[in-house]
Amino acid sequence: MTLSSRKLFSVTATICALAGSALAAEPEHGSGDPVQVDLWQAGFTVAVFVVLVLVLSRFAFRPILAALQKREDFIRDSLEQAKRDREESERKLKEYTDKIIAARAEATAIVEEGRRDAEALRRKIEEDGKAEAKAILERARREIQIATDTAVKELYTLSAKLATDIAGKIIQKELNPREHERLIEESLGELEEAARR
Amino acid sequence: MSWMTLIAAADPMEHVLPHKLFDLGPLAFTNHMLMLVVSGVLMLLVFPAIARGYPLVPTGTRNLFEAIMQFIRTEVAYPALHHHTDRFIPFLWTLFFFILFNNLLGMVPLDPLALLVFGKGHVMGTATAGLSVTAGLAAVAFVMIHVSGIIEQYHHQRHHGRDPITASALGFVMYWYNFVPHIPGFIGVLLFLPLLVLELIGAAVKPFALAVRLFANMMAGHIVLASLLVLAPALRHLGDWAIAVPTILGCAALGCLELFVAFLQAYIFTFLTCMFIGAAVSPEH
Repeated sequence: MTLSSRKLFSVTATICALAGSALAAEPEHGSGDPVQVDLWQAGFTVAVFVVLVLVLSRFAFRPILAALQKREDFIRDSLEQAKRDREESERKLKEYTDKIIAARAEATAIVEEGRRDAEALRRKIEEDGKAEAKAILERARREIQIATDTAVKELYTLSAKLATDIAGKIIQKELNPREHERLIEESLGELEEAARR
Repeated sequence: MSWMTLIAAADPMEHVLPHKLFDLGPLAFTNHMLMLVVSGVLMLLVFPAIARGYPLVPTGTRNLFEAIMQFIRTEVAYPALHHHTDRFIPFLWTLFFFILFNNLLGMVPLDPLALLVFGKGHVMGTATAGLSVTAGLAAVAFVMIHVSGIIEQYHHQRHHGRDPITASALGFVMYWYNFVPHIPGFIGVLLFLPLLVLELIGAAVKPFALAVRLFANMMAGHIVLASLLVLAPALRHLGDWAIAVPTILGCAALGCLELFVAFLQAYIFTFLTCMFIGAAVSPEH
């Protein structure tokens, strides 16, 4: 247990009061010598001072001291809180900066990947286009070849028929259908052979 | 004869010596005692009014007093008393302001006013220019220093698990034992008693010095001012201006010095009391 300052002052006050009363018992006073101590006046000073200490401590200085201590605590707490907040904000700032750096790196990677994909796609589309164009060209060539062959064949058939008709007219002899057919076949065969040669 | 002539014509010592106002039974009530009461009443009017509803941020008059109080607390008391500061600060504030109020009240020309109003001089005065008053204050400081030291030793003993009665007795003994610097070995034992006597003389001299310093400073300033005024009628033959100009300028300059001394002496008394209390409550220093 600790004695409070109030108790300390009470002890002092008691001692001073006892001393004061002892001093006051001395009837000596009112001196013309400036360095002579009048015990009654000294005792009175002690008494006034002790009363002041007790009253002012209770009604003025302790409340003021409490207010000052409260303000000091408030300032200390505010400073500590500000320090904590600053550390927290610095931590958050670092965290967000790291996140931004990471996001930027990720974005760059995504863009790079997209570019690569787009390039690959472009190349694929180009190659597919080329292949398809080649296939279409090939098909067209084949179809042209077939059409050409068919047309040539029809031309041969028609020419043979005309030749046969002309020859028949020339020799005034009607050919029966079977001979007519055989003659055309022979003509065609000769024509094709001639064409191959 | 004007009141100024009356003052000037008087013996300079008349202004600083206590004067009986009336009898209080077998004892005399002096002007210094009246000033003590006046300053006490002023303090009782001012400080509780300031303290009422003390805000977190002070304004106006509170700033004036708080600046002084904080100075005493953080610059004067704390370096000497450390964690004991707030325990002693109401005492130290009272001590400082009591001396300051008395010093400053002594500078206000209340006495000539009283002379004008009541037709009776030496009603007011500077209480701290009286050795009896400063001796009383030094006695309070003396008691405070040693009681604090003994109580601190009591706490120390209690902290070591001793019962209150043993702690009180041991606290008292240990306080005086710690008065002497601890020298190891036989030489320490040999020197203990002479050193104790020396330290006890030192303990008695400290409050004596406190009392004399405050008294002498406050008295000297007033004597110088009064002497200047005494010189004035003596030099009347030089002409009014030749007297008035140096006297007024000299009084004004010395008044400024006195104002400074009023604060300085209150500060020194409080500062030294702090140092002595600090040494008493922390004997290891």
